[in-house]
Amino acid sequence: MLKKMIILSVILSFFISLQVLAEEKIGDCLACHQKETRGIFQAWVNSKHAKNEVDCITCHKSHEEAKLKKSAVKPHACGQCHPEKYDQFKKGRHSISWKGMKEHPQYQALPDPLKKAFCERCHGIQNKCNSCHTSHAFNPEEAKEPEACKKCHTGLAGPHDEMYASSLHGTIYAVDKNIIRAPNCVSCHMYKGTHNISFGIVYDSWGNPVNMDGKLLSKEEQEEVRKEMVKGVCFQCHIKSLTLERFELADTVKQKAKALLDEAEKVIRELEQEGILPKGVALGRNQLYQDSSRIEALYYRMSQFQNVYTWKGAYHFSADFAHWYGWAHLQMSLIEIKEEARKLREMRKIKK
Amino acid sequence: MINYFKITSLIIFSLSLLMCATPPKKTEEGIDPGFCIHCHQQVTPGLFQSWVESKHAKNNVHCMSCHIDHQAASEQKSMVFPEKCGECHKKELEQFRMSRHSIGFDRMRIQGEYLAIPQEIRAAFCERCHSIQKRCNSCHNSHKFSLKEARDPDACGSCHLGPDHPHKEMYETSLHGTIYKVTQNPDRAPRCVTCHMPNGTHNASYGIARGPAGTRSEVVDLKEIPISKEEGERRRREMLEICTKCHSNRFAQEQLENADQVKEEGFNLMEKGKEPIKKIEKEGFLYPSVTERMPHPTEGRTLILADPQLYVGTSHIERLFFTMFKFHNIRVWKSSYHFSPAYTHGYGWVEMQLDLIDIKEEANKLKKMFKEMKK
Repeated sequence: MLKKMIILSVILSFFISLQVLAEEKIGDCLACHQKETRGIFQAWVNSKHAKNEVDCITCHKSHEEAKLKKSAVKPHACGQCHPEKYDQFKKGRHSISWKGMKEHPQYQALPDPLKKAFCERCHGIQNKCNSCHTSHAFNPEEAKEPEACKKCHTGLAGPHDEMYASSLHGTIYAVDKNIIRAPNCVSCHMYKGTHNISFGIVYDSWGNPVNMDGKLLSKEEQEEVRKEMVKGVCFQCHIKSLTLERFELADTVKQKAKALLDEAEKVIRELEQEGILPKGVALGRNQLYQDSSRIEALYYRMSQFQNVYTWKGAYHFSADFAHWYGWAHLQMSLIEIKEEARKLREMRKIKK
Repeated sequence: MINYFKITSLIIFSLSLLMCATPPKKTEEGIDPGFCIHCHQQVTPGLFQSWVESKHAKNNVHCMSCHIDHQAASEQKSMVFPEKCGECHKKELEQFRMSRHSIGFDRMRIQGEYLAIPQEIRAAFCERCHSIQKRCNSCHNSHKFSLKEARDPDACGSCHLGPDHPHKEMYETSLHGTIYKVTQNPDRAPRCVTCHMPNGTHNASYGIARGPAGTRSEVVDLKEIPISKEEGERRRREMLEICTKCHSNRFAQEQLENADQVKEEGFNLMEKGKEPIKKIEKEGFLYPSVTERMPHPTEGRTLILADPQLYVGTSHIERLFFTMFKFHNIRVWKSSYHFSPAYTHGYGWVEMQLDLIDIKEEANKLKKMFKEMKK
């Protein structure tokens, strides 16, 4: 009897110790990290990951790897458990943002420390699910709030947050916090939780109707894309005729703003023809904001800021952005560009 | 019936007159708090109500504990200075005195810009914020003095916002501010006081290893004496202690050092903006010239670019530079320490580059137009 008991307890303790050994792997991290970085530890403890036994090593592989270099966990690693979200993410423009940034001449023209502090902080989203699902809580409720998008979609070049906040949609949501009552960012752009952020959007960030590979969309294809959003989202609250009318209105605003840009470009190209400016200056998409003439800088403000406020403001139904920050400033810039052209011409006469 | 009513109201009226005229009742501690409350719960009900809800009221800290006596309070500004609060909150006063908040008013008073502003309107501009040197209730709003209110980013935001130092806006557009806004949980993401007033210290300069605003890399102490390299490193370590509650030391250090580099780049770009203006001044094309304008209150008749440059009475090209240094450069470097790409890049660096183009073009035009006219 005693022999049996001893054998049994030996076997039992063997199994217990096995389990302890296995747990020690997580324990290894926790032993230090609940003291050293207790903020992230606490965030993880409260997360759904912790409840479902997704621990440090599940994502960070090994302590050695995490310690030696940046322990960033890339989207494909998250995709191992969240394959559907990962597939959707790959279809949206978020998944090519790093690539787009790297190719842009403005990025290339910046000194390295500035690249890090400026561009990479947002464009890193291509490689970071935790741009929105912030570490280490990864709480979907946080990621669904407009603030989560605002961190990048704000400011001079892309004030989406400000446009939304000054629209009736944003106003009602700010007061009511009720997603049934008025949409927030994800209601329209991540419809039914899709991680394809380009859902229902016809244009790229430069306003061109192209797909992810840069191929121009036909009129029919454009309508197909738009229908996804209009049918799925807008019709939940608005009648068909009104909705389509609003989008067509925004289309018209976009065209009219483009016409102002074209007019400004014509003024500058004429100066080129007259030899006042060097030939073939970059205007618009590949233009830099530095080391140019004043007239080019005025155009830069038009194309990168004011034009964007006008057309994106129109699609986000913010009269303030579409009109005052956008259209009104486009018109004023055009006045300045024409005046500057006149001065440049007069000055050349003096020179002669 | 009407007579009764008239008589009663007359009696009540004369009684209340009598009460107001009677000198305040003295207690062992001084004036009876009931004396103030009697009128003030009607005359200033808002203030009274917030005091009733305060911890002060619960702990028997009443009007006269701080305002000394009714005569002093009614005749002049009844301001209670930090020294008074420090009688009970000794540790907080000592910490406060170690911070730049405690020299806010003195520094303002010797600033050229302050002196150039008409005296009558200074109170509406500068003094409203810089008075923090003399007012605990800049953050601990009267008369509730609620800690919850003072710890909220909005409490700091009433001064730390706007064109010249949009700390509030920088924070709100950082990931820190984003998470806090959504969760309202300071354990999940830091708010202003987490980093700048850790463990409740009232030394708001805790862990700040760069600045003050306007200076390049040299850090000065409260007496404007540059601090040693070791002291600078010690302060950086202080701040890193906060960061490492969530981030690894390597990551946090890397981020702050990156911000150091961004700051250098910002100041280098600013120097480029000075060059064309200095040349124009030498050639005598500034209008109004330095001799034709109001002398600088502290520096006299000389060209000043960057701190302590004025925004009043200068030439157009200097005005362009003012915007570059005062608004845009400050956003570049402060936002890089607050991790807001929108402010450090868009509202900062991009604007600086566009300023530089404007400055160069203005210099170019001035030179061409006036040189030819002279001939």
